[in-house]
This record gives sequence, structure tokens and C-alpha cells, in this order.
Amino acid sequence: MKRARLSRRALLRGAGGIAIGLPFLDAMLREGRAAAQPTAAAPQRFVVFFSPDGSIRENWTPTGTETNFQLSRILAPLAPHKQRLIVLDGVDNEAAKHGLGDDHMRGMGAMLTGIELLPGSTQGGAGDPAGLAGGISVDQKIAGQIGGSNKLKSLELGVQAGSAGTVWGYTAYAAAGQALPPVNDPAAIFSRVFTDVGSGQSALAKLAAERKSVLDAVAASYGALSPKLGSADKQKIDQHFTQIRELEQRLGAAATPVGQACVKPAAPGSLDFRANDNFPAVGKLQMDLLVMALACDLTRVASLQWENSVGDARFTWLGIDRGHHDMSHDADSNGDTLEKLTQINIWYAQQLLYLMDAMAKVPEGDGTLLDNTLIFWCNELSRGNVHSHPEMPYLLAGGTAAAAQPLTMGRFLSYSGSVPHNNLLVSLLNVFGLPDKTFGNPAYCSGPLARL
Amino acid sequence: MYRTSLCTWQAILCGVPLLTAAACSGRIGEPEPPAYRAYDANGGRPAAPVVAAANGGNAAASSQAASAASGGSGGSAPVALDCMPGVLRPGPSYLRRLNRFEYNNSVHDLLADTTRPADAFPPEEKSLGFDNNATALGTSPALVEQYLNAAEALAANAVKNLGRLTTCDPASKGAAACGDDFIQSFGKKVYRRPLSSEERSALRSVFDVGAQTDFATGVRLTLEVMLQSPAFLYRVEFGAAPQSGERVVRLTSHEMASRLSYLVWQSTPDAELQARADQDALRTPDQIGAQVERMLNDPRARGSVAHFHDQWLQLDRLASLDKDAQLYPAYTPDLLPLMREELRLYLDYIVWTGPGTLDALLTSPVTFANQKLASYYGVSGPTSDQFQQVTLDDKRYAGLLTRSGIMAMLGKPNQTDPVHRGKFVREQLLCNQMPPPPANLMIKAPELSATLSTRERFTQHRTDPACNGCHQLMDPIGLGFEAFDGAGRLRTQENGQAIDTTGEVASSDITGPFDGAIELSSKLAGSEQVRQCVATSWFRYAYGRGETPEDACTIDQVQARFRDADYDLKSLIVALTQTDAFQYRRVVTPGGTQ
Repeated sequence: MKRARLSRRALLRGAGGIAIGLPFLDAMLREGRAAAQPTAAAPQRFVVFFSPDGSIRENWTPTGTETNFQLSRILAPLAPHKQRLIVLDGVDNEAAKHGLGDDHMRGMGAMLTGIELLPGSTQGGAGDPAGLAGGISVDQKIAGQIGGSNKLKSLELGVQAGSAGTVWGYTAYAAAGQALPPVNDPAAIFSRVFTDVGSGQSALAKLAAERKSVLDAVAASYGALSPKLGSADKQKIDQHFTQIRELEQRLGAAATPVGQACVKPAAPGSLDFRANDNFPAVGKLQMDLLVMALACDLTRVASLQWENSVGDARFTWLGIDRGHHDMSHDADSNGDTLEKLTQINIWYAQQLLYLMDAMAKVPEGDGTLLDNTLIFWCNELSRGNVHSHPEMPYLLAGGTAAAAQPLTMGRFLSYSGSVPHNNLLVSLLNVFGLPDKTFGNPAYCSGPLARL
Repeated sequence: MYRTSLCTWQAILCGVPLLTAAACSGRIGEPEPPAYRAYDANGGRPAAPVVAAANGGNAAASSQAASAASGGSGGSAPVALDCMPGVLRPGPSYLRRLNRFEYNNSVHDLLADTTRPADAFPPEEKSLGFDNNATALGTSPALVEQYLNAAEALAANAVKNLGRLTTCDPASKGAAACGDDFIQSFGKKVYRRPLSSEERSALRSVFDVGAQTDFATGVRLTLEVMLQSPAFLYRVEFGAAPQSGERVVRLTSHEMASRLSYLVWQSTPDAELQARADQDALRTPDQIGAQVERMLNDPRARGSVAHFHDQWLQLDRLASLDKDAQLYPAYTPDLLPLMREELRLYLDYIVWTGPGTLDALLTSPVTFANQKLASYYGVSGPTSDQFQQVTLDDKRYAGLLTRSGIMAMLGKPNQTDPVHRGKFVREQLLCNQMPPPPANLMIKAPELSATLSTRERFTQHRTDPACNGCHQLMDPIGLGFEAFDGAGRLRTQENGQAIDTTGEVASSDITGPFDGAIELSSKLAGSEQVRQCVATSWFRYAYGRGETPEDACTIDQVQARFRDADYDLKSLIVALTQTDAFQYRRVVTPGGTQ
């Protein structure tokens, strides 16, 4: 296993700052580049990048052919990485067209699971009330394949991700109905990812031994209770039991080599992460932490959830005062709104550019972290005002150099007819070495995505 | 095509007569969720009496009712129940995980902790409007990790003052003996019941690991285990041992102590409750009632009731409101926390020190303000930052709905919001659930106008059949509040026209026209539907679940006591402890249906 070695000196230098801002990261990474050792294969990573409320297709879709194409207005910011993109056009979120819930709910739930929602009590804008997503999400399936030996099997970050407790609020699912809530507070992410990192080895060993005794006893108490309970309660206690066992494994893994490669960076300074106008600043902090977590190999699978389904952030920093979702309902005849929604999606492309640039600065072997990270930019709707799910604005970015089944990047793939996105999800599994031939509801899946 | 909850199960859930469905009617005639079908056909009352999950009754009917009521896919309609004397129907009882509020309160009361560690936990999934719904409170890897972090931090803090945790002196009695003593005595507080010998020996093993370092480390690690155990994080109940053939049992006194303390205080039992439980003296309705009365006099009860009000009335929405500074020059964002504080003090006053009744909550002219807020209201009196009681002009203000915070919260940044004002009354006070607009409609609020009134601008809602079905239930109520501008302040004119505050309530037990918020509040205060809705909301909060057909008798019991107490809100809390649902539970069958 290859790690991006960050020298203690660089990390300590960064530790003096009050926030993990770009300068800190840059300083570390410059140092890191010099220190990088060309060793065995780097690990492959997978990152979900979610933005809500649909896109504006005419400003999103590239023109040209598969290998000779021109980026659209929305994707233009990504031009520096054009050869690291696969733009998909014509893939439908077929699973989101069926079952309980409204279009936002179904789109969000099926986005990474490919299956209908569970029954539940969340009443959306249409349709029957529904619960959470009905299956495991593709990132978690991949995490099961590649994330088991890391401190965190996966990391869920949010940027003012709201609607906690409903299907609108989650991208990742450990299993049907088991949402993994995104954490919006960079300080909490910092604490979750970097706690223990950089502690002395003897202190770590002692802490690990204590924790093992404690968690063994805790797990045993759940194990003892489970067989006495009725079925619904038993399910909860069993789930809790499993999560304790997984936590033990993670902590056990963390006590070994990671602490040598990474020193705990400074905690993010105080920032009101809920304030609308701090949205861009929180996003940058979260992306910096995400890149660090991947660079230090503390996790290999992550999701970054901007807003939530039906997200209504006001992009005041773009001079837009109305809420994102509120505007997304306007008719196509409203040119002003169309332009603003385009601007919002351009802004998201710029954030993806920032993330890709930061990854491209982390050397790994002969390449960079970006070469070994596949990013999936997804959305729960294709277009806000019709709440539809055909021709989803999906984009793959980054690289698969270290993947079991690498992709050829730098392409624009246009599909006609109804191509179900479950096929794309199967292909993502295949990239990471999972042999699955179907994913989600098999009714909306005919195998891997052709030509990908 | 969209769901018409108003006209269907929600009305039934509230225990109110079925509303005339023709109004908000996307889907008349389609099947109801199975659990409620029997109710529906009888206008809110069950048809044939069937004993379910009752001692000597029919267990199969019970499981069918339970699975259907909890959203299962029960095929045929289960039969609803009638109240019969001597037959106990507690409804389902689920394992309840402590939510963030309860966790913080519990560690405060156990360890004198003031760090509020649960504030960092992921927010609860709200169900039926509340953050303590048993079925919605699962765990996630992030939460389980935070339980570990919190337990470590809490235990490390706690052992800094060992004397609070144990009086045993390890120097004289030995670490092992004092470890056992701590496990037995403090463990009972954390687990809210005596520990089994297996539990004690498991904890002792952990204590021994730590005691290799020192006594305090042994205590710290033991406490870490306790704080992550299901006995602390969940309210685990099995009830008293059943007699042969019994399907419903009374709770043990220790389980009852926890039910009481988490209902009235949202926290762990105090010393007196523990003592009563140790004496097995929480078994009769009188014993339980006496404790509730005592507990309601403890300041902790106010926090719990305030937590109910925050959620029932959605007061968290006051955390941030945007208002147009040009249109509302008198409004400044620093008024928001003052409006929030006013509502807290007002609700506190109504329930605890003032008149006590639901009627007063909806009609009282009394409120609380400091100088800044008083000047926003245009009343004199307060001359400092301190809040004091003031009486508003009862020709212009009446009760909760006319408070500036509620009206501002239910106002748009640049205009009033009759739709959401009406929706709030419909949903929070009449317990109707209004379906959101159909997704395939282009929803556009009418443009602001320099000449038209809000009432005129919303004409489309009355004339367009696609809107009218639902909006005639909301807008005519909301338009009655037009005397309050979008920032919650009284106004007399809009665009040079005098304000028209006439409105109408359709499809309810107070159907008919009214003029202005005062008359509407007075009508609501006299509404049986509102009283039942408040009792229903409390049911959901108190029991951590929605109602099932099997709860018909419990709901009757609660409403009868509420009525007999002239709708006194504290009495409603007492009433919730005097029911089958609170005092009994079904016998647990391992692996079986709940």
C-alpha cells in the first residue's frame, strides 16, 4: 500500500494556523511532493459529489463527438481537467420514476441505490408518503470492497446539508433505511478523521487497549440483549451491535501505521457553518479536509453533499437572493431564473475544479491523488421545474489508474433511448473490482453501462 | 395527482370527525392505509369490538393490527377496537433510544455534566413532528462513534471528582471492593434499575483492566461502558413477569420510574423516583399520579414542556428569518431572539404560573417584553433589556397566534403569507395534514404589487380549480391575519387600502366566517377539534409513537381527563400517565411481532 508521505515538519508548520485553509494544505503538499517515495501501487478512491435541484441541460451538455467535444458553459470551468472527465448524457434515473415519494425524494433515494423508497411517513410534494432509500448505496458497496482496512470505511461530509431524518437529506446508505448522515461541521469532521492521528505510539497503544476492553464489553451487552427482544427492537439492537464491532475494527486499524504518516493538523477555526453566506467557506474547509483524509489514506470512500435534495441555499455570493429550490420551479420562459440556475451550476463546477486541483497537488507514485480518485458528480433531478429523471446531469471525473478495471477518461458519452442509471452503478462497482452484473432493482438494470 | 392526507387518515388520527372530503380532493375513493380503514367507515369510531393483545384475547388480531398500524403491508383491514372495561390495550411499545435532548439531560443529572455532548450528535429523524419517535430513532456509524467519544470525555471529566461517583475509599477497603461498590450503586443510577450479576461481573472485568493503572482509571473505563450500554442509551422494558396466558403486563416499578422521568423531565429518574421504584411503589394509578404531580413542580418539567412547544409550534424556525429592510424598517434581526424569548416566557406563563389552560394559550392578552420588543409592539412599560409582563390591547391581540414571533415566522421576507398562516392553523392546531402542491404544477407566488392587496393577489387560489381544492382550506384562514405584516407587526393599511381581515374556516367543527385574528383565536379556543389535536400531539410526544386503532381507549381516557380539568395543560400531562398505553405493555416475545 502506498501512502502520500507528509513530513512531520510540514504538518507541524501547518499546525500553527487557525484553520486548515489552502495555504496550509499547499505547504504540506509541497513538502509532501519532495518526500513522496515511488513505491507500490497507490489505492483507488471513490468520491461522490452531490449538488441538488437539477441542472439546465442546454447549458450542461457538451457538443461534439465522444473524443472530440467542447465543454458546455456549466462544465467550462473544468477545462483544465477535460482529459480527466467522462460526461454522460442520456442516462435516466429509471428507479426514481417508480414507487412511493415525490420526484425529489425518489430521485435522491434512487440516486446511488437504484431502488424504490421504503414506506414511511415523509410526505413530499406529490405521491405517497415514503421513508428512506430501499437499499445500500453504491459508494457503500464500494467501501465494503476497498475501505475495510482504513480508519474510516467511508466519510460523509455535508455543506449545509439539511432535511436530516428524511430521504431528502442523505446520499449514502449502509443498507435499506440505514442512512449515513453527512456531517456539516468541519470541526466535527476534523475531530472524527484526525483524532488520534499524530499521538505518540505508546499513548496510542494504551488508548487502543483501553478502548478494546471497553468496546468488547459494550458489544457484549448488545449481544446479550438482542435475543430477548421482539423483532423490531432486535433489529435496532443488532444494528447497533454491528456498528460497535465495525467501530472497533476501524479503531484497531487506526492504531497502526496511519499515525506515522500524518500528524494531527490544526482544528478548523470557529465558523458558523450553518450561516447561508458561509456556504462557500464551509465547502472549501470540507474539501480541504476531504483531500487530507484521502491523502493520508484514512478513508478511501467519501461523499460530499452540497445542500440537500430540495436544497434552498441562497447564492448571495453570486448576487442571487432567491433560494436555489425556489428558483428551480420557475418556468423556462423566465430567462433571468434560467441564467441564475446556470450560474449556480457553474459555481458547483468551480468547486469540483477546486477539489480536483487540490487532489492533483498530492503526489502519489508517478502520478497524483487525482489519478487514483474517481469522482461522481450527481444530482437528484435532471431539471428542477419539471422534476424529471431522464437525461440526468451525471459526470465522472478524476482517474482510475489504480482501479481493478480502469476507465478511459476524456470522453463525452451520449446515449439515446432510455438507458437506466443502474447500469452506470454496476459499471462503478466493476471499476472497483466488484463482479456484480446488476445493482439496485434489477428491473431497471441490464448490466454494465455500454461503451463506458 | 397527489395525496390528500387532509381528507383521509390524518383526520382519523386526530380523532376528529371526518372532514368533508370534497374540498381537498385529489384522490377520493382510493383505498386508505389499511390500519385506518375500519375507523374511516365509521366516522372516527371503531366498528365491531374486537379484543386484541388483551389478556384472554386474541393475539393474532393484535399482531395484525400492530403490523398494519406501523406501516406494514397488511393486506386485509384489521378490525378496530372498542373500549371494554377490564380489557387492557396498551398498543405497541418500542425500544426508545435517548434523543440528544434526553442524553444531555441524563448526563447532566447523573454526572453534573454541563458540556452538552449530544449537541454534536447527528440530528434525530423527526417523525410526526417530534424528535423522539421510537421507530425513527436508529443509529448510524457516526452516532455510535460519537457515543464512544462522548463516553470517554464524560468519564474523564467525572473521575476528576471521584467523590461524586462513589463514597467507597479504595485505600481502606481495597480497589476491588470499591470497584464492586461503584458498579452496583452508580450502575443502578445509569441503568435506571439494579444490575444483573452477569452485568456486574462484565463491568468488573473492565474495571480490573483499568485498575491495573489505578482506581480512577478502573472507574473511568467502567463508566465508559455504562454510558454506551443499551441499558443507558435505550429505554429497555420487559414489564412484570406474565402470569400464564397473560399477553399484557404492568410495567415494573423501575420501568415506570423511567417512563415518568423521561415524560415529565426528559431525563433520568431522581433519587425519590429511584427509591419508589426500589420499594416497588410505582404500580397503581394513584402512586403514579402522585409522582407526576410532584415532578411537575420541579423546574425540570418546564424544560420538557418547552421542548414539546418548540416542536409542536415549530419555534426553531425563529432561528433565522429574512425580512426586507426597506419594507419593514422597524424590524431588525436582533428582534428575533427577543421574539423567541417572548414566546418561551409566554408559554411558560400560560402553563405554569398563569391560567394554565389551552383556552388562555390561544386568547390571553398577557405577554412578556423588554424595552426593544415593547416598542415593536407599541406598548409602554419595560424600560430596560429585562423582560417583564405586559398586557397588550385585547382589541388587537389575542393569544399565541397574534404574537409577533409567530406572525413574523409565518410571513415572507417581503409580504404576508396567508397560505402558511392558514396551513399552520390547519396542521398544528386542527391536526389536518395539508398536502404540498402537486409537483407538476408551476408554482409561482403572485407578483408583488403597488396597488393590489394581498387578498387580491391571491385570487387565483380561489378561482383556479387546481389550487382551490386545498387552498380554500388555508388561505381564508390566513387572510384573517392580514392585520399583521410580514414581519409580525400590526398594520392598518396595505397599498393605501384599509386592511380587510375577514376570513373563513371550512371543514372543521368551527366552520364559518370570522373577522380578524381575535375572533379566529376565540373560535379555535372553543373548538373540540383543537383540544383533541393538542391531546393527540401530546400523545405522540409522550409515548414516542403515532396512534394506532388499539389506542382508542387510551385516547378516550386522556381526552376525558383533559375535558374534566377544563383543558388545563398540566392536567393533560397527568392524564397521559393514567392510561393503558402508559401503565402496561404487551408481553415481549423474543423475535416476535411487537
